Amino acid sequence: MDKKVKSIRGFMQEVSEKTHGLFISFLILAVLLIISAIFIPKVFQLKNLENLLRTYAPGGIVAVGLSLVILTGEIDVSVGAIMTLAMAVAAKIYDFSEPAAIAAICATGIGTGFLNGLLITKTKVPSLMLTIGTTSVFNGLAAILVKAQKKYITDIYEITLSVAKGSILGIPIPLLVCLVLAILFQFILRKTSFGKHIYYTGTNKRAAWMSGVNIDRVKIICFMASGLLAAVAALLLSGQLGSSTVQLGTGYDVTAISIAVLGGISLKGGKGTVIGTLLGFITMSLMQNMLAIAQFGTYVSTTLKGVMIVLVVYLYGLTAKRKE
Amino acid sequence: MSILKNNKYKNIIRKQMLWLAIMLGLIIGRILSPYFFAGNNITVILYTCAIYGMLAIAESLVLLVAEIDLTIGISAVVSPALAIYLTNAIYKVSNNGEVVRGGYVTAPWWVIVAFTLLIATLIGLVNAILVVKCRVPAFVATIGVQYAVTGIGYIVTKGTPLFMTKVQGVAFIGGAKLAGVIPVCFILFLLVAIMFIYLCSSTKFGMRVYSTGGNTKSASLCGINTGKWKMFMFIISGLLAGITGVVFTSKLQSIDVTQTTGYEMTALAIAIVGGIELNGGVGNLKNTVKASMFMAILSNVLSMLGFLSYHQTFVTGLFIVLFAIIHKKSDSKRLKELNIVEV
Repeated sequence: MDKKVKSIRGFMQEVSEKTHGLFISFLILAVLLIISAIFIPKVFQLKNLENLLRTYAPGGIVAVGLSLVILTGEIDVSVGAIMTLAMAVAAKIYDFSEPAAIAAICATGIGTGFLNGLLITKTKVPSLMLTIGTTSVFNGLAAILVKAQKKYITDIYEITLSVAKGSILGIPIPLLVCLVLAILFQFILRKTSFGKHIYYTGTNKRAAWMSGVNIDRVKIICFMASGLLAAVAALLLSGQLGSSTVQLGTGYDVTAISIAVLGGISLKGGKGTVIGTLLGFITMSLMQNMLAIAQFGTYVSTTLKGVMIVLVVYLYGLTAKRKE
Repeated sequence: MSILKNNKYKNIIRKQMLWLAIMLGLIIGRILSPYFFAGNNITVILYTCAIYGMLAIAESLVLLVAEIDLTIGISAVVSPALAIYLTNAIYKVSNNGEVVRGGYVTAPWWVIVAFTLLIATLIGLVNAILVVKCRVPAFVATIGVQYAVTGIGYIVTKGTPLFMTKVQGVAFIGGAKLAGVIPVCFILFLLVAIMFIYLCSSTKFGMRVYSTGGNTKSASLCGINTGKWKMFMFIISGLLAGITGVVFTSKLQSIDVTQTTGYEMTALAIAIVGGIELNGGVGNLKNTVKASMFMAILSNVLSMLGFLSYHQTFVTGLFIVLFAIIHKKSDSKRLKELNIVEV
């Protein structure tokens, strides 16, 4: 019996090694799909799928950006605060001109990401520590800017609304943005030297530094990408909600980390793929939607989300080959 | 400037940075308002210090063994709530009637306290098993448990608040004051703090904890059961979260699941300001106590200045970043002396 368990584990380890951990993500997604097909077939109505992927897409976009940072072995818990700050800055500019506001959103995202990256690489403070501090700073700054007021995204702001609520060929634009970005990042990670540098930095930063990788630059660029994506997500989210408050991004940091983890990205860095994150995002949104349709309510859904995260990471730990 | 250039004074300033910050805060507070040293205000500061400080000590202990615990905030409010409903269930089974009626709790306080501590310790134990036995990284495991515990709290309380005003003796631990100024919970906090400072600085306990955090592999090669010590720290942090929960519930005399959202981040921030390192094995609990005092004074002074809550968030964030950088600077200096190149 023991031998059998071992051989199953060995098989799982081999498969997951070959597929870069994607196997587990697919497995979990498949299990969820089968469960929902048997018990809650309503999930597969086209309208529902479209809505659910549109609603949860901002979380997915943030997670895709955050994946890059986690792959370099750092972490950024300030993405939620960056979302809030980006919309707060935009709220000031929206009345003058909408394109300028959208440009400001992107600029804020890149700027805050750059600030995080710069502080972390120059002072060598652990990123979790520093980004806890900057979370407070950004949240405070956002509230100071708009005096904690709500900004309504009304029908005047056509670009924002059409991006957040529109569809191309029946696919919601937020989902499309998420897909395109994930595939783009996956391409960069796999096919370019910069992508390799990200993996080297995450796996062993000392070795990477010694072989001439400019790890500071790699980290700063990853933080900037993560900031930019958080800001884009904020734009799409507030477009969907029709308003932006100073609570906009609260909780999205933890959601994004959970999604990345569900997709098989190791918090130690250097392990995982952005496609995995995409699968994690689909899994997470599908699960929440299933529980909502089965009328479990948010309370049970929160609990199960927690249990699920722990369980999945435990599974990943089982299938990873130990090098001890 | 000549004083600052002198190395001796510089060292003193660096070592006593938190005391200086506290002093500065007190002086600024005194200048800004004549009521700063009034009895009531002191009580408020000490109360804030006790609540956050207790959680910060819990967090620091876990950080010292190179792990992290993000459940303490939610554990501090869900465990009393669960305890009350557990008591209710027990009373119902033994035909003694209900102790929760219309949101009002009438159970005896000692039952609630005992169950609260038990449940909080159990949450700590769950964390410990997940992290040490199942090898789930602490950051993810505790986020997961945080979600789970929040959800359970909501399921059990159905999202409605509980009121404790009818419980006899409820106000003692959170509301009673010694000599009209010092809250009892602050004394409790000091006792806990002194106990752990003593344990960490002068006993085998501290040696084991610091070596486990400093370098887990070499510690286990030296014969220290590092897994056991990590589990132990998670359980202690759970217990301390439970004690905080008792104090907090007693002070507010009500429980609502959302009321401690984000407290774990504040605790983490205090630990950072106090110079505990996230990589484990570096830091001193004395500084955590000082840091919690400083943060309490800071928030009080900012309120005195007429800062709104979001201005306070901003300034607190700046201080966290500042202290993190200063602590890291001195650590970098140490590494430089050891000829270790930081990457």
